[in-house]
Amino acid sequence: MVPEVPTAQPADSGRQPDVPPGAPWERRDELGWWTGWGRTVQQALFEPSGLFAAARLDKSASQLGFAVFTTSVAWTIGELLEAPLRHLIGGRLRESVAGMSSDPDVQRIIDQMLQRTSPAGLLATVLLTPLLTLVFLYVNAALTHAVAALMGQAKRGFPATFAACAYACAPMVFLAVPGCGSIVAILWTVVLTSIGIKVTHRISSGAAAVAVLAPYLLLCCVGFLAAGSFAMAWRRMVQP
Amino acid sequence: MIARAGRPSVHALALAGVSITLLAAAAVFPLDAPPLSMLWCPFRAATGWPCPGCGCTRAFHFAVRGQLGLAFSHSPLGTALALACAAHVLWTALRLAGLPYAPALEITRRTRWIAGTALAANWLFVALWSAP
Repeated sequence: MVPEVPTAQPADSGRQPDVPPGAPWERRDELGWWTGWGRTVQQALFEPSGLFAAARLDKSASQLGFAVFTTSVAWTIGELLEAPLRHLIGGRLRESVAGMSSDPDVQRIIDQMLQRTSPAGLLATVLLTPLLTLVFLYVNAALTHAVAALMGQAKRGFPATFAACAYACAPMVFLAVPGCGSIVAILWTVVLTSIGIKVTHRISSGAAAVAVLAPYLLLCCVGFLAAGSFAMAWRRMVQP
Repeated sequence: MIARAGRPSVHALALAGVSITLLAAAAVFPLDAPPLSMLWCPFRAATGWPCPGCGCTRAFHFAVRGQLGLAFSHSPLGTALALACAAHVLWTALRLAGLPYAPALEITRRTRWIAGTALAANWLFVALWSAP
């Protein structure tokens, strides 16, 4: 039930002047697999406007592959590196909380956190990562496109929004860094998505920022307040 | 509204896969156990009022079980999304089987106003239904 993407453009040799050359990842047959991936990540991080301007809207399958590969691999590496750390912190947290509170809910939350560090939990996470990436990518793209369409700014259709969201996943490589990597990855992805929407839809910076940030503003800004409330509630809960 | 089309695009296929995943998750996972019980709305936690997407998890849960009235009472938007997911899966399957038609959605100013009003009405409904 989604509208169809534009028909395929001619190949590079017969390319029309207004058809972009394609991102390095879209030209990986010519550049080589790793070179194509590496240059795409590099451009996304340090020269995003050029990358988004070069992206072709008829290469959605390729863009999907880039996002799923980059996010899944980095997420898996991050999970493997963080598992011992989380297990250590979780064990100590359980010991200290047991001394402060006998609330079964608190123990249950810590147990759920520790379950993810078990070998079975880790294997399940690794196997499910590509599927979760696919779901998150499409839900994010659909939500962003819906807001852009409501504002009348989705000028070049869903493939343009999808290209922006897919290449904006490049900072997800930081998921491989334990600890602060996920925060850096998420914030950088949000910024890149705004730049991507601006370039691929050829709209103003303000409109692109609103289209991308509206859902996050609604959920995340208030989320920080909620996190503060949660932290205070947690403190009250564990205090004797 | 409906136009002739060839095979489903990569987005149509992927969105069908995502729809199946969401509907299957809603059918398999209970509301009162992890992972669904761990989902919480930061907007509601901070303000006590629901966000526009509040109730969608429950709406999906009841919609896949055929309890559409109950699903609607939790979130009209969530119920509409669950039905749209099911319709998209069905339509994509038919197109794979050879149906040569696809929806041709035209987003006009009028459509945008209707969608915006419907979203606002949904929020009002959910807010009044589950007021703090």
